[in-house]
Amino acid sequence: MLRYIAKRLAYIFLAVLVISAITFALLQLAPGNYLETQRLLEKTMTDATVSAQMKEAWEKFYDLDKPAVYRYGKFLVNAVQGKFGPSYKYPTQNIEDIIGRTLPISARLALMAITVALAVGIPLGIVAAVKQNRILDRIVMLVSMIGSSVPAYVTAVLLSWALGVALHLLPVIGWGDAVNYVLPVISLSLGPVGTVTKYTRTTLVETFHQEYIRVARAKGGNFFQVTFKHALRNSLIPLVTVIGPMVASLTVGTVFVENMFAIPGLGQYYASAAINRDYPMVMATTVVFALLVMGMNLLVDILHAMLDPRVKKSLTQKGG
Amino acid sequence: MKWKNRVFAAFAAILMLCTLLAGCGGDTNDPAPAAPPAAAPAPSDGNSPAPDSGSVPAPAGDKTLKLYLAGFQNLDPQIWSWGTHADRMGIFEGLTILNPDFTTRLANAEKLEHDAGYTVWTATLRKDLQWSDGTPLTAEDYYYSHQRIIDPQYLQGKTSAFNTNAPILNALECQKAETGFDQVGIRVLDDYTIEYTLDTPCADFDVRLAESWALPVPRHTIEQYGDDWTKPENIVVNGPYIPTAREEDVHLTLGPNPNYYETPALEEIHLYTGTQNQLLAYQNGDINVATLTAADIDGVMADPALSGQVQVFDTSVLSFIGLLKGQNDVLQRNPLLRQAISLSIDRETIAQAVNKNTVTAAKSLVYPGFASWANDLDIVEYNVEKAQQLMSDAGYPGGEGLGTMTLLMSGTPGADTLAIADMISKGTGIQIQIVNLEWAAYVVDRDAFHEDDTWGIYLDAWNTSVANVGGGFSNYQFDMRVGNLETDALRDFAAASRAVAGEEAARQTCKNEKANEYAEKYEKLLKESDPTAINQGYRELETMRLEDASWIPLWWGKTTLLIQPSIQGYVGNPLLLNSPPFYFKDVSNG
Repeated sequence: MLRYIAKRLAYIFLAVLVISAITFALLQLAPGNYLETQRLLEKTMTDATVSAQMKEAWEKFYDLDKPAVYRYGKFLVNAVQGKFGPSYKYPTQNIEDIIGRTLPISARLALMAITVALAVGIPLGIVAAVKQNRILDRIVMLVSMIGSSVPAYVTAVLLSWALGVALHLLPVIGWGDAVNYVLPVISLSLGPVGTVTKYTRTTLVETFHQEYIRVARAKGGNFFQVTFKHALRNSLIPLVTVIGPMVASLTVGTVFVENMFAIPGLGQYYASAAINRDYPMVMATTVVFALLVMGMNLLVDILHAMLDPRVKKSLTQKGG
Repeated sequence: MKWKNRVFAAFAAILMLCTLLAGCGGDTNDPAPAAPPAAAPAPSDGNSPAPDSGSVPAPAGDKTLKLYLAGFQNLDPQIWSWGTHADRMGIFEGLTILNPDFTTRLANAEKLEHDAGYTVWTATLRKDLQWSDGTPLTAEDYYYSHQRIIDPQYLQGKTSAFNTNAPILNALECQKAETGFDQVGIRVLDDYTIEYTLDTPCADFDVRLAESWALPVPRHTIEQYGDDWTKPENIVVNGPYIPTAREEDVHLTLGPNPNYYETPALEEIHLYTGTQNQLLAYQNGDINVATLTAADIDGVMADPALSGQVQVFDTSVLSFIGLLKGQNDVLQRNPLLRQAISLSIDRETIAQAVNKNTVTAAKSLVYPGFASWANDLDIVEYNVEKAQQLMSDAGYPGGEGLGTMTLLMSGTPGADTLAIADMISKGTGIQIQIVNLEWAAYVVDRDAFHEDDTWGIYLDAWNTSVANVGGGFSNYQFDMRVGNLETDALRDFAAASRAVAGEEAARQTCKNEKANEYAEKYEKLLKESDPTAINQGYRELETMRLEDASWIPLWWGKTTLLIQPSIQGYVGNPLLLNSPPFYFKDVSNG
């Protein structure tokens, strides 16, 4: 298993290297630069116009006067040490500090949304599976389908109106207090609720048709013993493979919700960096998000292997 | 089993909640209850001073102001960012403060004098000035602050917010490292007196002193904390409000500065960035000033309660047409074609019918708030017949022989862009191809020299944060010569523009007589000290520029705000996005 993990870590390192190289190359090819997008070179910003000397100093500060290969090499050396330097847009702050402050907020939101998704989705999935093809099953599946198909930004607006403007129960912007979590977390969790519900139902229905479940019933196991002790335990194992990537994608994909509710997460930095041609920020956030996604996938695989001996055997054979 | 019942009860409750939430659909663009439009009062014109409450007392407020700003990512007033604008709203305070009518009042200065020729200005500071940590603020602080923003040794690698429109003697030369700061026309006469010597007369230097570049910064704090000096736990300010908390780029909290020389009216100010949620946040009471989007306006105006809280502010954001630069310089060579294009655009219809009065038709490139004559110049008009005649006079009747003209823009074409293209096409007969690019790609294409046969125009918008007529003339882009350069000079200009040097040399190769006459008059005007002559001179220049039509004005933007009735003294600043107040100290809420 350790050999498998080591191999995966090596793959992750290589993958991040390739991703960073491709991102860097694309950024070199992209038209425009930060000073242009901020209209600082236009001579139309009469309140602040960059002179040739200032542009030169700025380029020197960010090594833009050096060859691209040098810059990429320097980026890699620094990135290995967890250093990304200042961004163009935030020249007085190091990017690693910004990430250190904001990533935990985005990750916390994602984890809370997943927790809600599991707490609601698994019971709903069980109900749907147990009542398969009955009215309750159809209602649950309809609700889960709506949940997973309505985008978070639509849900966020609806919830803000319903629980904020109409009922005045919750603030619709702000951060810091417990009440500020409610709307963003519900907005983010409805999609995963639908996914978890459907996944739980599908796997549970499949499990119900397994030989060992019939045996359990034949041996006199009652409904709860069969459902929760035998069927559910095995059905939920594959769910681990869904949750990991879900956490990663939610952490990366909270841009709109963060913007909508004025949440100081990393998403907004990631979104605005590309538009502003803030290349250091784009490089750093891309690498961090790539590591996050691949790290979560590795974690999921390890957990899956720990929970399911068949998977462990298959992985160790591959890894070995 | 009891727990079985509980589990199913919980399931049922969750199901009901989910169904309820899923059923909360509807038109989210119109959350307000509908009411007959006739019931809606007209929005008040926010450009006038805030209405005197008179016999009707303002509703009680909670002494807080909560609103959205375009940004505040960096609160160092000397490093360019949207934060420099937040700084001058009351976090830092300069010698003067801009009034809503673009005059100034004294702030840190208790006296501001100038010589007869407007080239030497002397400011005398108040004696009771302190930084928020209690350190006395003197003329030396101002000297250091000006040195830090002008002398390139200080903000190495950062984009200085120095206003190149402030004609301080040798300041630009120092910024270009051609001379030392000791040669710059700034002198400390004593602890409370600072003198500015200008290289050209400037009758409104008091207005320039009200801009962000002239704000003082605390040397002792900067030297102690370096780049971290603007963090809420470190920051030292001299304005009426000081940052007390910050959540990255999304929320900044300000409180009264205890060492400010007056007690400001507001106890707390909450600033947010972003624009997604303003109407809902306003309706929920989370903010008390909201910017409305065009899509929100009809719904809000139909709501009797909300419509009374609407205030509309003019802005200095000008949408205009410029000329693409390229091998095919047909537009640069033919003023008649440019004039025909301008004449074929019905700006009033676009402003009223297409943009629902969220803009005002522009008759000049100069913001009317700076010059009373800007709307009186009868040059920009809608006259299709005349446009067609000019096309014939130019040798291209009905647009024949011109080929397809490119209309370059950034983003997705809106109804107004399509209307412009349609009007030009119908008015001049020119076939138009709209090319829309992502912002950064657009900027590159707009400024590039097109070596292929591409020719045409671009749509752009511009606003000045400099509150004077001259701001509309001093930038290179609105120079009449740029619109009249020949091919080689255009190529040179495009290259120089990218390198941020040499544009002037390229402009001087202009062979167009009228454009050169314009440039000469402008240079002469810069040396003029009589305000009346300056005003008249700019009027003449603008007349020449509009007749030339190499820069074509389209419309001025407006900002529509919802402002809670308890808020008093809010006058939107037309120079800044979303019209935030000029100065937080002027605003109260109960």
